[in-house]
Order: sequence, then structure tokens, then C-alpha cells
Amino acid sequence: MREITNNEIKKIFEFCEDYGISYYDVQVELVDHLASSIEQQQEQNLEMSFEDAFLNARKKFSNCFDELVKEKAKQIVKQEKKAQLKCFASFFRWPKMVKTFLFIGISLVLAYFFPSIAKYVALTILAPSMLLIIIYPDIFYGRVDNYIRPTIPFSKDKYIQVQPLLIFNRKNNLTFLAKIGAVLFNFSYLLFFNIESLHKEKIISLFYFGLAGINFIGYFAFKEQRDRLLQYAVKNYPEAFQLRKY
Amino acid sequence: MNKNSLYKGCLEPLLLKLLNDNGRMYGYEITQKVKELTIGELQITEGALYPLLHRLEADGVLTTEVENIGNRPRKYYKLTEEGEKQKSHALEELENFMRTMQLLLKPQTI
Repeated sequence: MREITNNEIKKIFEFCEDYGISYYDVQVELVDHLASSIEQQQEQNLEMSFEDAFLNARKKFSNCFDELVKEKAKQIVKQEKKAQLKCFASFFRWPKMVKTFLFIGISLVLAYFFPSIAKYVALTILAPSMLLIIIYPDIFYGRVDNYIRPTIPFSKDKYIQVQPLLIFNRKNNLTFLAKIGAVLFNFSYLLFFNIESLHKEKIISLFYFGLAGINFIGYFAFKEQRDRLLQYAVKNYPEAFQLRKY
Repeated sequence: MNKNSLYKGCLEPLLLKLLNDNGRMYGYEITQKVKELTIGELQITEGALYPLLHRLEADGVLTTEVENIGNRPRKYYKLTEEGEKQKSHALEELENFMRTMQLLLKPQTI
């Protein structure tokens, strides 16, 4: 069976780059498709040159490469949104719900019994938890056009991402939790302004602690899903990473 | 009428059946298998196949694994548990559709 050479594979990867397909995970699928087609054509016609077979293989895509990338990016956002929400929901199901209720429970007990201190403690927790969930995904995933090469902690060794991957290049979705939190936080003074109650302080501290708790669970869920995605990427696209041993 | 537009709606159940019968397959293999099984009558275009594969992967119907074959990586698709359930449902729908079409075109044969 005719097998395409390493040099020819390199040429197909270069073609993808020239065509504006910079994401390695997209390139892999296209390169294999084009290479398989070239191999088959040359098997059927031994005289056929690589260039001619490559041209024929490309024609079958009828210049729909851009559409393919756009469509894949859209599907990845959908897939990741689903995975993150599933992960978030798992914190409210057995066995993780024990940890969740313990976390929120202890916070609420503190908020109830020590409202004057609890309010400030909750506020100091709430602010960084919001920042983490809003900024951290952006640092990790990078922007759509301007990808970054993050250092990924996996145990002591570190993987440095050396190729852009579309699976990392997305708008993160769990951040909506923090955004809702931020809006509620901003409007909370208006919300509590008119409350006439002996327990006003307790209600306010319970609200802030609850908000901080939900934000933190959102962050834990995001982190768990991110680790899962990293393991998938390192396993399936090892060429996109470099291992640095410390 | 372009026959490809007739086949378009059947692509998903056919793809699910192919993956169910063959375990795991890669993109190019799918196009060739369909061509072979239909004796060249149905040719899945790359522009139709990959968006469908990616959509089914995002919906949790398919899962993927990448393996190195000689000098390049290859991405394989296979059905998830959810995909197996969906396959039976999709084939049932397709059979119903074919029965209805036959009913419309050749009422005496039913």
C-alpha cells in the first residue's frame, strides 16, 4: 500500500497554515483526510504525482475550509457549555452534594450567628471568587483571535502548549454565574435598602454568603471540567504540548 | 431534482448505523464506505460530513479518540451509549419515512 511520506505530510500541514487554519486539532483531521485521499488516488493510478492527487483531494472540499472551522468552533462552545453545566449540576448530586451542602451550610451558620463579622468575611470571599471565575477562564482559554500559550500545571511537571487548539479557544460559559453574582452584588444595596426587619443584618449576611458559596461551586466545577479537557488534549494531541520536567 | 438533496435528511441515521456496524471510523473511511455500499450512488461530501460529525460529537452522540497511524495522527469517531439509543430511534424514523414515501408513490404495494 502506498504511504504518504513525512515530507508530504509536512506540505499538507503547511497548506492548512497558509489557508488560515491554525488550530492543530482542526489540522489533524483535515491532513488525515487529504492524505488518505492522496494515498488512495496514487494506489489506483501509480503514475499520478503527489501534486495532482493533492489538488484533486482539495477540490472535494470545494473551498469550505473556513465554514468547517466556524461550524466546529460553534459546536465546541455548545459541547463545553453542556459539559460545564453537567459538572456544576454534579455538585448538587450524590456524593458531591455532601461537600456542597457542608460548604454552604457552614457558611450560612456563620452568617446567621455572626452577622456583623460574617458580612465582611463574605464580601472578602465574594470579590476574589468572582474575579477568579471571570478572569481565570480568559487567561486559560485566551481570546478568539489572539491565542496564548499557557503553562499547564499537572503534578510537578508542566506542559507548555506550543500549538493553538480550537478546543481551548472558546468563550467560556460558566462565567455567567459570576456575572449574575456581580449584578446581584451591585444591586444588593438597593435590594436591602427598604428591608424593615429586626433581622436585616442576618438576611444581608446570609445573602452574601449564599452568593459567595454558589460562585465558589461554579469555580470548582469550571476547574474540574478544565482539568478533564486538559487531560483529553494532552492524551489526544501530544504534539501540541511540550513537557518540561522540574 | 438533485438526488443529494433527497439523501441529505438520511445522512444522520446512515452515519449512526455505519458507526454501529463498524465500531469506530475516521472521516475519509466513512465517505469511502458509503460510496462502496451504495455502489457510488451516494457520495457524502466533506462539507456535509464533518459539520454533521462535529454536531453529533457536541450533542454527546459520538465520542472521539486520536491515534497515531504511521506518520500522522488520525481522529476516530464512535458511538456513545446515548448514540446507540439514538441510532435505533433514528433508524426507526427512517423506516417510517420510507414506508410513508412508498405509500405515496406505490399505494398498491403496501
